[in-house]
Amino acid sequence: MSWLFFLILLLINMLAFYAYRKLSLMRSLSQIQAEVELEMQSRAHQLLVRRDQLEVGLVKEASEQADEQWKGDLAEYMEEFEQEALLRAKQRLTRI
Amino acid sequence: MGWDTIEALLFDLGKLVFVAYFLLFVLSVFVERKVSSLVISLMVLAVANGAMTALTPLLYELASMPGLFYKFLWYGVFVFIDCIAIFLLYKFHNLLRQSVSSIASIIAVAFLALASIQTLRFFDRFVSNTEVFQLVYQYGVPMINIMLVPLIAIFWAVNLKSANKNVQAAPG
Repeated sequence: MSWLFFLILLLINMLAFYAYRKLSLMRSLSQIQAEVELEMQSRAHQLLVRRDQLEVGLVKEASEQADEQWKGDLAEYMEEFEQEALLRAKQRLTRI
Repeated sequence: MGWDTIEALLFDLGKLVFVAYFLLFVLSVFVERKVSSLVISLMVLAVANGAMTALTPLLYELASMPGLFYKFLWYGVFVFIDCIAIFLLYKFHNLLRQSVSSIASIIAVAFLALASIQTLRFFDRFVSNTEVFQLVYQYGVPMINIMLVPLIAIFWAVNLKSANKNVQAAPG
């Protein structure tokens, strides 16, 4: 009988560990998202700084080429941003 | 300092632990001013500890009755509450879409440790009859409960400091 009670306790412990694993998984997902957010924010900031420089006229040499380059980088950023949003939506919908 | 003094100190502090958890929870609501991982974690901690504190006299009375089932109830109810607390931590974070903080992780590990100690002690006392974990049980459970209070306070302070630093360093 004592073994049966012990096994019941062990089963509840395993369920507790399972819930803990899920919580840990959520923690790692949150950390990845926070890192991605920080990286995207930093890139957006860099793009804005470059735009300001272009508008003020700090980038004198080949300004048209620099403008094209900036537009290309912005398009790339927007595309990655959209993909990231889709990925996160997918993650949240299928999360655990 | 002898074991008797330590035991008396642990017992006295153990009774105050629930009050400390509750005060931390109320403080977190006023400081955070929104739903956050810290508020969720402290709420679950206060509720789970409150339930255990409220049930202890009844379970003690039951456990003093003859029969293995009553002894099992003592350990089983505590393990069950620990398990439910971890599940609630996960569920609330998931439902309220909150990032899991380091404090939530620490509290979950503490509940896991408490459940393991209860299970080991049951095995030790009624299955293997070795009485090896008596001291671990006697001092480990109140020690974990008491240690959580300063640990939460330290991690909270560190998190607040790093959040302030991030606000100051934010571009714009």
